[in-house]
Amino acid sequence: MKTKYENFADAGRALFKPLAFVGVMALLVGAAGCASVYRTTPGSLTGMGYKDADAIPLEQVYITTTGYHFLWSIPLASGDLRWNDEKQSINGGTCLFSDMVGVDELQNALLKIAESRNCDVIDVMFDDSDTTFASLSYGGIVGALFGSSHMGVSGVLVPKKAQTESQEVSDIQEGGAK
Amino acid sequence: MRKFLYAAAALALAGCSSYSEIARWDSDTLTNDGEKPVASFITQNFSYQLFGVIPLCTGLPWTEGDEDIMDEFNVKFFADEATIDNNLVSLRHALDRAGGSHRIAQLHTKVDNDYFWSLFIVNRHEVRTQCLILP
Repeated sequence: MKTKYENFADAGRALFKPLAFVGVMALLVGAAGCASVYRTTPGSLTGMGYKDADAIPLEQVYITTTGYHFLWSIPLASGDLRWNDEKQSINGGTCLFSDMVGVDELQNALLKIAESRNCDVIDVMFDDSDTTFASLSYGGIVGALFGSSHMGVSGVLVPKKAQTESQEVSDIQEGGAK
Repeated sequence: MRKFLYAAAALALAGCSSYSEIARWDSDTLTNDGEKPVASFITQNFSYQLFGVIPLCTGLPWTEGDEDIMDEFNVKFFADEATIDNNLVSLRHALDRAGGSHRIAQLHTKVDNDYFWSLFIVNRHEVRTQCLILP
């Protein structure tokens, strides 16, 4: 006859393999989704009047990146926000043992996207959050040693002001010529 | 185990409901743009994805209704409608509800992915958009 503690231990052993599988999947999923760029389809803001924009906004962009670390300071993996000149977009994959979760990296990514579209950017707003995995280890200290930090930036792309002004001047000149 | 699965499914489906609201600006207080807004607008939509890839269920954008608020158990299975584009669809409906031709300001979006609640099995994807509606 087993005691309830022995039954509990048996249940724990039976759960070890599924939990280990979940852990591996978690690493794969987490690593795959470290950095992402969400953009509206071009033209989805057409028809909406926008304050502080002399022209119609082209699209809205949200860039997010997540980093995983050990003891709050040792980086394990983070989103790759480096600009890829060939693809004209950020890499978006994962950088192992690096910490690219920061305002500077996000700002650079946003500005690169704006430049690649020949746009200015308005209504820039950052957000961030941090968490530990303490809850995943049911109050144990192991989960608390690992944590993740998340940052994102939202912005609206508008045609460059200089470009808009020159367009207006040429429109006026064309109108005058007619 | 079966009860746990039912409970998890019910929790997930309940969380799929999308939420949108227009809050009328019934005050003479000006914003930092020096204008008096017509209303504030916020919309959030959720979807759930198995391992962050396979869509399980999703809330839907706001396209109809006679009230300034939409908080509905409005679920579509095996689809992902929680996108910034669909939040702009909800915003267009809000602009229609606000009446007339309006401008928007301070448009912000936030996208959240939460795997932790399900031990990384199911991703809870949330897209939130907010703005001010100006005359």
